[in-house]
Formats: sequence, C-alpha cells, structure tokens
Amino acid sequence: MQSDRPLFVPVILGTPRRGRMSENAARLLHAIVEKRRGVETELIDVATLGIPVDDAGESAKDEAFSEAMNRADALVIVAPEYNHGYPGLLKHVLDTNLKEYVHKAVGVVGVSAGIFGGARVIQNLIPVLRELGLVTIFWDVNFTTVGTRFDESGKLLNESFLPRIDMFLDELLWMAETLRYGREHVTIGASP
Amino acid sequence: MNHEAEKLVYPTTREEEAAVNAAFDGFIEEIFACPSCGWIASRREDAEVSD
Repeated sequence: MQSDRPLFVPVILGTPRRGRMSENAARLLHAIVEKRRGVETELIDVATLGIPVDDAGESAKDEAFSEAMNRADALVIVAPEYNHGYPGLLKHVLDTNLKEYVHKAVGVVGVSAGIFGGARVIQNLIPVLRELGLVTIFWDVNFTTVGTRFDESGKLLNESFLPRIDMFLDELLWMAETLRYGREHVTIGASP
Repeated sequence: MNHEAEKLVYPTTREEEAAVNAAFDGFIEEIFACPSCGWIASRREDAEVSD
C-alpha cells in the first residue's frame, strides 16, 4: 500500500502572541517529525502568514500556506489554551482553506501554563477540525505547566515527553498513510 | 483524479446563495485527489473542476 512519495507532515505553530511558550513545543515536534524516515515536514508559524483579518475563505488565502495544505498528508497543530479556547488567529488561518484538508489526518498538541496541558483547547478544536474535513487521531500531546518544561534556549527539560510524542506520531503517520491510499484510490459511492 | 469526498457547504455570500441546492440548503463541493502526485482539486457539483 505504501507510496514512494514521502509523507508531508507540516507542524503549525498556532499562536502569534509575543512571548509564546508554544514555540518551544512546536520546534520540538518539528525536529522530531523531521527525523522520521519517509517523512518531510515544515514549521508553519501563523504569525508570519500574510492573511488579512478582514476577509475570509478563498479571497483571504495565503498561496504558500494553501500549497502546503494541499501537499500535506497530515498536520500537527500546536495550540495553546487561551481562556479554555483556541487562538483566534489559528481558527482564522485554518478557515481560509477547505478542499486542501479533506480526509487528511490531524493531531493536536495542547499547551498550557497549568496542569491540564491544553486538554480543553483540544476538545474545543476537534469539532472545528472535523468540519474542515480533517480526521483526528486519539493520541494527543499535552504540555502541562509549559513554563517549566523548556530551558531558556528551548531545550526540553523533561524527556518523559519523548515516548508520548513517539506514540502520537506513530498513530498520526499510520492514519496519514491510510488516508492517502483512500484519497487516491478509493472512490466515494463505489462500494456496494 | 479520484473522486474521494463530497462536502456540504453552506452559503456565506450572495453568489453562493445562488448556487444552493434546495435539497441540502447548501451546495456540494466534490473533492478529487490525483493518484500519482496526491494533488487535491475540487469543484461544485455540476461545475467546472478548479483547484
């Protein structure tokens, strides 16, 4: 079933705020994904996309972001929890595309200053991802008390996160491979 | 191109309202994937393919 083409799994850093602690988590995920054999990745920072905030959909698209989403087989979204919700700009950026996401895998990395590790932002984001046609996995990564997890240079201080990230990526890549085969070879409505 | 998904889209503009299928209160976006390169394209039901 495997294709010769590498899977493309971009990591989206989902907040533009100054001093964001999610950046360390996103850079860590990106570095780990990059080491997976047969996988290509890219770190996409919502803060650097030139998407207007007074328009939506097709007319607000950033061409490079849309091309990355079209090429993607799966997404890793790193989302901090702000007042139990997701960052507004992350939602706005995601909303600029649709067909590019359909039947592609997505995994969410929750980040928070407290003990829940973004569990509530993940729960709130999942219905949005479903409406965009993305397919969620059941592994998450939760960066609890994120202020204590990295040193000043961004190095991870607690390696207990690494096996969790590996399990998360194992499922995400399985889903990505499976969905890619389906997208490219299984026609809707063709089954008896 | 492999036709792999259909998405019900609710209209958000006057132009889209004109394309609404009354059976769905929206229009159907058909999604296609290239078996060779994976590129995704879509079209509204009964419209030209666009990407």
